[in-house]
Amino acid sequence: MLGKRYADAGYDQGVAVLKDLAAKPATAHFIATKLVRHFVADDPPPRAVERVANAFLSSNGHLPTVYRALIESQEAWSQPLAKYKTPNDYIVSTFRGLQLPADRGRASLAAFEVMGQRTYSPGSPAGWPDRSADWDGASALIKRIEWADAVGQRVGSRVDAKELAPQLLGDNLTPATRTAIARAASGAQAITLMLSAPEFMRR
Amino acid sequence: MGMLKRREFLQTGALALGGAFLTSRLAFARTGTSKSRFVFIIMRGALDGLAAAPPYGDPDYAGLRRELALKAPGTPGGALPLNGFFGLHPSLGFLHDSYTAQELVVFHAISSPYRERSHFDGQDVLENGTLQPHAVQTGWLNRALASLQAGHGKELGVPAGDGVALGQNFPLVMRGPASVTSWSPSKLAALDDDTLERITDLYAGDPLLASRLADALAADAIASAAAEGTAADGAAATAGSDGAMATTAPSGVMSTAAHNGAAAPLQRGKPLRYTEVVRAAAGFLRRADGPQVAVFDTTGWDTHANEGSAEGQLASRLAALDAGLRTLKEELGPAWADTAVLLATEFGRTAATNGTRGTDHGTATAAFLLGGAVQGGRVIADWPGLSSRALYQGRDLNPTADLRSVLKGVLSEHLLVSSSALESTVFPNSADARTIKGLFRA
Repeated sequence: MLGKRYADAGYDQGVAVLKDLAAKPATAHFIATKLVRHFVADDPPPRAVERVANAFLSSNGHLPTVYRALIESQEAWSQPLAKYKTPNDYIVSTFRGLQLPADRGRASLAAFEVMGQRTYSPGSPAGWPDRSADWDGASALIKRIEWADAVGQRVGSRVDAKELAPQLLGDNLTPATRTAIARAASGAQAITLMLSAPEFMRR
Repeated sequence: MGMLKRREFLQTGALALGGAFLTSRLAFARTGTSKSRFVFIIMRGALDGLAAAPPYGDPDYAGLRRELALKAPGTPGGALPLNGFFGLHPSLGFLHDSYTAQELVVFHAISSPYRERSHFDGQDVLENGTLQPHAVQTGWLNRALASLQAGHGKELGVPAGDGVALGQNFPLVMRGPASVTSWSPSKLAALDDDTLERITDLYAGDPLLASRLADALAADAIASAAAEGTAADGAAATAGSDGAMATTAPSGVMSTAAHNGAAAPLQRGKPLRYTEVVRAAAGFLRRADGPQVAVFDTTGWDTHANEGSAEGQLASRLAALDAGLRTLKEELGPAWADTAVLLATEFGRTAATNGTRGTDHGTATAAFLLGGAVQGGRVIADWPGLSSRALYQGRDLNPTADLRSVLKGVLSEHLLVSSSALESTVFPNSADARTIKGLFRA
């Protein structure tokens, strides 16, 4: 394996191979690239990849350390936000942002399907792809807005988007979105606009 | 009618809102020349070509297929006759009518360059147009459209080579540099115009979202116009109601996800929207200013167990597909004369029946090209035979033709993609796959 011989020690032979593979810089780089592509941008910024890969190597693959390096990467928070949310991110962040009850979670399953990623049905054993070209279709966007509209109809009478938007979006909230929410014709429409805004569509 | 509202928004709003709609390819009209239309239907899951187009005349066929073997034409449940050697599955009545009308070419013993047995990798090669799975992130059809958009844009000052994917997202074959759109039927209440207008404003500074929203609205307008047109024709007085339009078919259509392995749910008896998808496709294509190319998926072809013969699982799926194609022709009306439809799958299935009365992942299979533009009534096959010595790796129909040869024939003679684009960007390293010429009426 990669120029090294391993004694035939049964099960332990496989474990020894995996341990050596896990310690390779190429492995760290591969895993870092996948993480950064998934969470930060389709085209991963090299500096963020390097930082996450270094965390992987220096911590001997301690995943909490790796994730901390990802979260602490400046690139993950730089504006404008680069990553168009997956249907999963979009739906989950809506549920969390509006504190929708978890027992309604089942109702969101249909939303995954109309946004193009039916739960447990990726086209490949590798799972859903990490590049947004896979889920940023025109029809998927209108489904996302229609779903946001349905959410707005449901919670618009009790949730004030004017107060919530700065909490959810922080520094990413643009003046245009803030104004649009303030001028919305109804509480429901304000929620729909907040959930449809470019800065909520991305992470 | 929610859709109607949205269309009014498009018509009245397009002028007022300008900017966003200028990015929509669908909003542009092309010149009035007669337009070639192309529908690419991906049959995900690996279609059994030996069942869809049975070589009942091959001396080894019946023995390999045992209880799955289709009988010769003229016997109850027998194949529909093509040329005395090949037939069509008895569920494919419309395809047979098309063959008789010289509007169908059947290709056999054909495959993509892919030679392994993974659905996912096989579909990737089918769609990416290269020799390897995951070699590129774009599809051959999109790259072909990009070459058309670039070429016509220069000459006429307007975009050409528009495409639409019937589904929420773009399958790989439609991804790439060319501007394309996607459409799928809505299950939620339509947005009101005021909200849409405000969201359009919000997207003014966001090129991706502005262009996607404009495309979605334009696509909805075309689809709703198509549905209304159908109702006006009296063909379906209740068009628009899901119940009336849905077909009850065990095969899923327009799933954007590729097939989910051997244990995929069959969705038996669940109303699916074959008819709706096909009507929408026709609605897009028949317009002079609509897209030229439509793509959609069909799933459920992975028949590992209880495949059935003249009747059964595969038979009912083929029947639903056949009915969908008949509807497509009816809906296209006069535009059918300029249309070509290609049905292709990622690979074939084993020549012999397996232990669960089905067939497993194989290599060569059949493909179908039909339409008013097609010079049909032919089977094109360099038949390798089904003797044990002739089988690929001792188990599969041996591929003697490359699917890219057909694709290159369609793109060059029907869509008029230049041969330089075909050989360089659309199908790189495809010199071995010689273009099949003469597939279309002069």
